[in-house]
Amino acid sequence: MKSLMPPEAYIDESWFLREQKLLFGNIWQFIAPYSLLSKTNAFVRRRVSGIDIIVQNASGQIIAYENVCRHRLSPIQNEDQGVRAMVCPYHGWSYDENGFAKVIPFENECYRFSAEERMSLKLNTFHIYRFGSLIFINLSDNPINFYDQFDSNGVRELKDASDLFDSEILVTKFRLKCNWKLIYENLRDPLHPRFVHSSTIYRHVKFKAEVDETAAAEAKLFDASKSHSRDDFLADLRSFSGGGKNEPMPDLPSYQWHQYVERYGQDDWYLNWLMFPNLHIASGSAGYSFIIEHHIPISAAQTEMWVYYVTGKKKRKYPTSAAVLLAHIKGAETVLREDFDIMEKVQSAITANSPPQMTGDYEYQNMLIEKWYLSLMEGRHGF
Amino acid sequence: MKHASQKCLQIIGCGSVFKSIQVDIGRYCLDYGQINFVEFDDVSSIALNTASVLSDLSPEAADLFLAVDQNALNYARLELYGPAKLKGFKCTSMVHDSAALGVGTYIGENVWIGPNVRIFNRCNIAADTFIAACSTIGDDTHVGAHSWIGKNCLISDSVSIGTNCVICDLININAKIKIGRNTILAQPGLILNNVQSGTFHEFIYEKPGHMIGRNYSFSKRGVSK
Ligand code: FES
Ligand SMILES: [Fe+2]
Repeated sequence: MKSLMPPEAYIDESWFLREQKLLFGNIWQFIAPYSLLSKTNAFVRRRVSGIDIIVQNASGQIIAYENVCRHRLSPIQNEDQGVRAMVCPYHGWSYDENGFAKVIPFENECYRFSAEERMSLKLNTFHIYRFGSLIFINLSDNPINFYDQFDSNGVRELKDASDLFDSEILVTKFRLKCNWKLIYENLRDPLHPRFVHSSTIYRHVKFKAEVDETAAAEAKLFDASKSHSRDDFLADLRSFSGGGKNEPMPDLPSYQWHQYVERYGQDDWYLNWLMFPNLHIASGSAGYSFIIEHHIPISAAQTEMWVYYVTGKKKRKYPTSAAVLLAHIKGAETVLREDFDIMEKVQSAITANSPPQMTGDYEYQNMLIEKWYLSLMEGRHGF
Repeated sequence: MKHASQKCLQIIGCGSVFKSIQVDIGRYCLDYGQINFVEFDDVSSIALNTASVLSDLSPEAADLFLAVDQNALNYARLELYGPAKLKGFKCTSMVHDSAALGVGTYIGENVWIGPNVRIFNRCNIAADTFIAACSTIGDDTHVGAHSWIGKNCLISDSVSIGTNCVICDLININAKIKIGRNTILAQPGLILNNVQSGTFHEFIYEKPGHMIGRNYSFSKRGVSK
């Protein structure tokens, strides 16, 4: 079936900006695992939709602020993550948990603000939602309900799994030269592993590409332009997130560290969850450890990928836990590279004159999502 | 207790260090009645076979040298070293005869000092640490246990390197720098700033990977040992 996605959706910067506003400006998006924020003054800094954001543990509350000092616009936190009070390094202004300037050194001698000015010295804040041990942010002043976006049953397993995440976590960042949508279209494509990952993960997990007849028929019939209510629009959105047991892992190796950590579930299955639009969580060890992949769109052709590796909660400390996480990244890196490589090539091949993609029935999920996405981008529906 | 010359030395392991010792054993000035080599297929077979290899030996009759390259923070070598120590084995150290050690420099057990290594005065190389060929270490430098320093590194004076570190080939570390534990430095070049525990500097990431959690970023001190 001819895809409706225009090439601009992948390469055009003005399209990208519109997408940032219409989609990313309205939805709940992942920002960090809670364990990075569990200590007082722990913070995470990420740039989302062009906004420099810090999520900070301010006296026990997790709050998201714009990371721009109200004095001379200096960033307040300068590391990607860490533990540091909210004090601007430039002239030492500190901020309270509500984002108000708390202490301004030499306030009376040097600044002499009027009472009204003083009251206005507040950082922008954003809405936060804690889902299990995953923190989400919404950039809208008036966000939709979290469970209008995610089906509580569909994502419950992921919430439970995230509650098992250990506090020792390995964080890395990659940069991909491709549009973020290519990554998710690829993640929803169960046929590619046998070609792209034939010598790596496909040897252990036989991903099957099957046509779900009902879903494929629905995706084909789905016409977002016709009498489609906001409730339907949100119901469709909710159907894009979920996951769970993906494929069996008959020869799951057993490692000593497995006995030291709590496991999510009991079955030797590859676990895989997607939270639309840009969070992917998987467990290639059938519930003993997890990879959290968070893709932040930077521009039409660039995506930042934050990767977190974590095991289940430790039942007891063991001396090699860092090596276990390190071994994960080594294993995952090869597979990630295989995907990066193909997606960067696809990206570089797309031009304004590219012919339309021809999606097959097995790609019914992508088909449905692109129709929904275009109804948003073309202004037929909104949040 | 038997004199070393009456005991035998079992060299157990796999990889490049194991092979380089095997072909060059005459240059390690060892005083053993007999030297045997036990080679594993690869690092993944170590964990599975450690118990059976050690059960054939007794600490009275044999000393050990556990020769495994760096791999996942030297975890594979530790998988041999840990059980061997629990069973009461003494591990010898291997210093190549072309290497030079300064005055007051202390070397722990199961340490390998490769060909043409220079270690200056008052250094401390803790147990189970390997230093590969042609690297130089300045005065008063400490290298923690279960670590690895690659070939042609230049580690200056008063540097402190934590346990379980991997410093790959061709890395220069400036004087007085502190490298936290569980750290990998894999990009050749000059290290001018302290490196926090649990930092993985490798080509693949845009920024170094970081371990976060108790005893890492959350520790009171900037660099924990
Ligand atoms: S810019 Fe922040 S205190 Fe001056
Ligand atoms: Fe893939």
